[in-house]
Amino acid sequence: MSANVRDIDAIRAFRAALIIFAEDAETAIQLMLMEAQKTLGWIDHDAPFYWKTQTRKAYDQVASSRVSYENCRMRTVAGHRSTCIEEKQAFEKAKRRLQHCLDQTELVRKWANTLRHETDEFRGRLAGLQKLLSADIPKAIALLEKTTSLLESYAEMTRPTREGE
Amino acid sequence: MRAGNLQSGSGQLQDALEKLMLAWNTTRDAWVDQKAVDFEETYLQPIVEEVGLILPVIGKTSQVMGRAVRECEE
Repeated sequence: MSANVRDIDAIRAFRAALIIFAEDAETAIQLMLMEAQKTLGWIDHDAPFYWKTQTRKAYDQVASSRVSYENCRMRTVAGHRSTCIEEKQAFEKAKRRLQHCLDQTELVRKWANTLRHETDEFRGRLAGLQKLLSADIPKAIALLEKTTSLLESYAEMTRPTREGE
Repeated sequence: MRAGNLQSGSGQLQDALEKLMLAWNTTRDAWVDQKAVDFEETYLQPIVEEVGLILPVIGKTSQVMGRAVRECEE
């Protein structure tokens, strides 16, 4: 097979570009894996802890607002029972907050499962590119190196010798 | 919590591939034999195809992560 290379330096320059690509692509992959892991860590640990704490506070708030409401209902002023509107509203608000915390706890659990699955798929997809970067590109770089060496040797051999040399 | 920013990595990957293909086009002007064709088919096309498959996955994963974080916050 005959070679047709007009400029050996062009191949040398591409070899350098390929090395830079491999480094940049690996950096991009590592950055994305780190970001994915950060989000997974948040949903596996930080979010459940946050909602657990909020749920405990919400239970406490329901208990204390219930006591306030009950106490108010027992109270009579000049023989009349108080309407206890504010206390009732506070009690209802505390119950709504508690329900929201319980709903969020369940939502976090569901999303954690979904994200684990998504992240596994994502890592698997990136592994294909990582294999190219770690196995195939070094072969390509070596081939380019061999090609330029051969072409240089050939150019050296065929260079016309000057008279007297 | 800021959702995992995968788009930045995705952009870096696209940039890296664009630069590589630009360099290859320049090299191709000077390397015009069958070996160049074989090299492109064996080593460069698989990279282009793999990156092409990965980019939509990055976009989808990024969206899912963003939604998860939004829904699980206050």
